[in-house]
Amino acid sequence: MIGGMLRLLRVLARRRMGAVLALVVLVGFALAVLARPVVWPHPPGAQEAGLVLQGPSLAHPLGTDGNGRDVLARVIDGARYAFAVPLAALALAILLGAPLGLAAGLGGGWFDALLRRVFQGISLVPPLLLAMALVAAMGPSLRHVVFAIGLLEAIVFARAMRDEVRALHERGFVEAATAAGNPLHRLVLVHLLPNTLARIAGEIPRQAAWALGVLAAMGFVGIATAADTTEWGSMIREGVEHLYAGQWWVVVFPGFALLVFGTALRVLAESIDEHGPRRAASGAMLAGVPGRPAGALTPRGAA
Amino acid sequence: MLLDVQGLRVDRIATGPQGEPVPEPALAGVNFCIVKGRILGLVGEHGAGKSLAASAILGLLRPSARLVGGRALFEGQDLLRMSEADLTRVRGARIGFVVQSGHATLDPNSRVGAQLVRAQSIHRPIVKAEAAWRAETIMSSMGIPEPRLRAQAWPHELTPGIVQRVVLGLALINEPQLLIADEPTAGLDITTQVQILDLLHLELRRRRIGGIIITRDLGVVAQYCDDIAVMYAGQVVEQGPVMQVFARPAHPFTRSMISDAPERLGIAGRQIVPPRMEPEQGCSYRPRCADATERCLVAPPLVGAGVHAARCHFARIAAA
Amino acid sequence: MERPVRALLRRIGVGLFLALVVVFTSFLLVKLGAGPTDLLLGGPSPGVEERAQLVQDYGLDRPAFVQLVRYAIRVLGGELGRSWLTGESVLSELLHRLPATLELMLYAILLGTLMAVPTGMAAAFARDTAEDRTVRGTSVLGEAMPPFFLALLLLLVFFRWLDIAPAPSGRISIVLSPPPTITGSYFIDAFLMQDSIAARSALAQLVLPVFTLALMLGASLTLLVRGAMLAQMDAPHFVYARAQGMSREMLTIIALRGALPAIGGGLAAQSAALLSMTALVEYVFAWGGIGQYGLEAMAKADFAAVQGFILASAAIAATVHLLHAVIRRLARIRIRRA
Repeated sequence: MIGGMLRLLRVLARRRMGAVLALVVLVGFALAVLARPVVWPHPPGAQEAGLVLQGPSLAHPLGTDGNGRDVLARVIDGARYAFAVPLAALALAILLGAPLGLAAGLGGGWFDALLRRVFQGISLVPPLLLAMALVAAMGPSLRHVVFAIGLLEAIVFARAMRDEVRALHERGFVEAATAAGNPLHRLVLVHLLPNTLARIAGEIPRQAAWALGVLAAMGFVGIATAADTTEWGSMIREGVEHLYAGQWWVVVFPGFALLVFGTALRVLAESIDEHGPRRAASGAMLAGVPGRPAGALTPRGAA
Repeated sequence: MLLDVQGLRVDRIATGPQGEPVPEPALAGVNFCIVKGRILGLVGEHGAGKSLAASAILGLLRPSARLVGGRALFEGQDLLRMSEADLTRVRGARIGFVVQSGHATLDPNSRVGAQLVRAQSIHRPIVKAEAAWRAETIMSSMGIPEPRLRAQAWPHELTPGIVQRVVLGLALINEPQLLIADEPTAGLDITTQVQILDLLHLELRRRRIGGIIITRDLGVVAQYCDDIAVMYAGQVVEQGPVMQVFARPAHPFTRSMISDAPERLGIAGRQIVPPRMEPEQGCSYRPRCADATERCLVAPPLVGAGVHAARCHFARIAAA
Repeated sequence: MERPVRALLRRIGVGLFLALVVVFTSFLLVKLGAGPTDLLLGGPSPGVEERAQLVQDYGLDRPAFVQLVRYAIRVLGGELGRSWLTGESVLSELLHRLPATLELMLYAILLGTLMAVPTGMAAAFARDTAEDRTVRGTSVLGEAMPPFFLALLLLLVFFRWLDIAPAPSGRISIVLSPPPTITGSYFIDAFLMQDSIAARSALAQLVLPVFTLALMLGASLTLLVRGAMLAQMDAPHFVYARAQGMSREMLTIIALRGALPAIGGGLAAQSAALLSMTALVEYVFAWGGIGQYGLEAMAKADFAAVQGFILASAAIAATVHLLHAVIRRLARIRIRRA
């Protein structure tokens, strides 16, 4: 009995460990960005003519690039983009998508049906390629990158919001709140939004990971920004010719930064999927013992 | 003694408020036994642990439940300590299993006849034509009209009554020594229920094999079973021959069940979830018992004489 | 008889609407663009005559709605315009490059499925053990991997360091000339022409890009297979199959057969992601398929080509969905006809 409890605790710790580790990685990147100007002697833009394409050494742990710039400083500096662009895109996506989904879920009818088909049509174009084409058309600028990613992610949030509101609707939640004399704005603000938060929040790390991948792809193809930047995808693009010549560090380190950052976000997303409120019903798998229905949400403020 | 279950304990792994797994005792020492050729009715409220006990005996617990202790001696061998490979040779061959009715129990991607053939091929080398013939024979002895035609059907094409006859045929086709039927008629209409139970009873008697019928319906027990085991909150609180238990129920829960059956048993859709059991809290039925006294704060022993026993301080059992 | 006809008409209507949404999206692309539409389509400095031709073709002097209608009519008629970079018709360039992309995707799907199905099944059977966690961890890592970075890593190891893979210079060694077109696949065509040197070179060129894509696709597919298998293993009929005493092999077959629809659906849903990954991998390996064509058009602001590429991608995704729907239909009919 006690042994069983201990084993369970250990499994629990190991599962949560992923999320903890992911947060540590992200915080680590943030701290590195903040500390770099103070701690690290080489600025990301400083070119040293005599130190072109030097391999990893004590002075330059990740080597130098084709312009004699310190790769470590540039990789750390690149984390700014990895934080800023996905965050800005997410803010735009939620601001655009959530009200749209709310309206479709509450209104239903032809508006809901039309929106569904329009989203379905747009989704036929691979979203990564569409985002890239949009930025290519609007011109190279981070603002355009954020706009394109945010626009396409808005679809995800609109769909999530719509499904949540619809589900609450179907369970008589909206009728109950309306019958209790709640005006529309109160219904939305007090009764609906808090109950959809879990789902929306759960989408955030996954969409951030997607945004990061899109940003890097744009940088790699060379359409994200006009000038050469420390954005990881652009760094890889610049380093490709050196990689083929054997100077691997110019590509591998920004690539690993991308991989580690993206993995941290995805691990966070998986962890929310597994332990978040929507999957809390795994107890229902017991043979012959009824559990809560899958995906049960406890409505707050229903009374 | 065909099957002797002693002190079966199973924990259910529930999900806590933060999503963390929490083990809760679901079976707290279940005892019952079956004699060859007799039929045992396992009754209790919804959630008492009847199906869980059956799953545990056959080693079919889901990952969300865990065996903690006990023994289940089947023809002298402990099923709970058997390797998965050995258990595989017992399941379906020496112990047949009939689960709750409905299409969900048959493999939706195979024809009915193929499933009956496959059930035979699992446990012995077969000749295809012979196995097909046996499949048709058992279908017709299960009262399925036009067995040759029905053997070609997919499960979803059959009525629930026919499906349950097929499931019964699957359980009997390898001539087991014991048949466990877990609410074999749940979800069927009344006429079909009676037909299936009559068929089940007839086959058990004809083959002279042991049977366990898990049910919430005392009427089923009275009509089709020789013995009864009453479960409450993860324990068997009373076991004995049907005639004796119905004539002189020794446990207050059994008494209350008999006095206002069938509504009590949740057949009317009422779910009564038993309280969680803590041994130090004494008798698990105490909160609902009209006759509870201070003695009930101590866990009651098994009081009994011969084949009739009950888990109550005040049980008075006359020797049969 | 009436209901199937109505259902079919409805489907055609929905399909047409979706096509219009895609066309509108593609139209919007140049409308949202910086600068006048004719400059986006005609390149940075088109001649006076070319500009006039563009204005006439697309109706650029008319209101936006008229432009959209004209554009839709042109696209549905198969007229995708000309690339200002090459001067070629976009449609013929896309068609010319399509086999290269399809070849890559097909092999990647085959290899990826071959890797993912056994792995996902093993993980499902070993639920919550160390093996299961390893498989899941690796899959999450694979999902987070940028496809172009994986391609470059493989090139670094197998081309630069071990020198056993050829240079990323397209579909066949640059010193060889491509075989005559029969199927469009250089490997199969060279094989059919019994040109063993060309066939070997085409095969060698295929290995790394296919492997990159298969790994990327395999990562998400493994999680999908695992989830679908677990759903089957929790189903009542699976528990009942165990109660019948079935062996592990038989249980595997039953669960896998039940999981097939979910796996097929997941694969179809992955088609958009696969297209994106293929484009990036093509770009790294200079593959010469429509993906590389599209990405290069974006980098060089060749917008007739970008529009054509977006439409072609949507068409491929739609074809995959249609194929999936047909297969699912046929599988259901098989069961119903019995």
